[in-house]
Amino acid sequence: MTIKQFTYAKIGVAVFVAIVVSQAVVLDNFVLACLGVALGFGLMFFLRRQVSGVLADERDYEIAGRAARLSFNIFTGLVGAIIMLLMFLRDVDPFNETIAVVLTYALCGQMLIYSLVFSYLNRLAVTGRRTGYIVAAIIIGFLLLTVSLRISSPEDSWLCENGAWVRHGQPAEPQPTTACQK
Amino acid sequence: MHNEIKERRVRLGLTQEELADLVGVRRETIVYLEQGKYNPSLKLAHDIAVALKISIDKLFQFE
Repeated sequence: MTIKQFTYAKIGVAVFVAIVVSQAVVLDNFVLACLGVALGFGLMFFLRRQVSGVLADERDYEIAGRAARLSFNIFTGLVGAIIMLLMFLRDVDPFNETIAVVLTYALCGQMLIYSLVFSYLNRLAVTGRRTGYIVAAIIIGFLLLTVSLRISSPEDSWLCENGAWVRHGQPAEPQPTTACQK
Repeated sequence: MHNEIKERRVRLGLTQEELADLVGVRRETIVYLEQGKYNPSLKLAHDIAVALKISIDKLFQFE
């Protein structure tokens, strides 16, 4: 397969995934969406292996590295500013604080992953050993577990303060009907 | 950095595509190299020098 043919095939796969995912959204079928995306990834992997020419070289990797670094800096700065703005406006709408907290977790997670990947690649360049993959996978798995536990934890609830029920975070249940006596 | 890639390639009767295939890069990279808009890695510089049957110091000159 030539690079030009691969480009057309790539567009075809993108269209296919878009159709499947949009239909999955219409049908409210999460499994279909996952299958569509997985199939898209599989197809792309297969097609890449069929290409005879060079798809990317050192110049592309260098530009990609610079683009990733710049994107990381832009995203970090932008999200940091949004977090501060949302925290500043938390009295306007309590939901702002929740969004700010979620964004803070995401930002911290991103910076942590960046640090881990950087130190791993740095180590790999020196030692040439790939054993760090396991350590990195364990750490990232632990992080994902922590975040998912935090998200699914029932911390968001109604608190009784000065004789009135005060919403803490975003509780799923409605305000308690029982008397608040504190 | 000045280089003699284009002159050498033409002298050997190679197209940009053929040189790109020989050294394992995309044709665009050869274009940028010839225009002096990209500084190659030492490995790529070596591969190009080998493909063009010339030494690196003759192929690339620092100004």
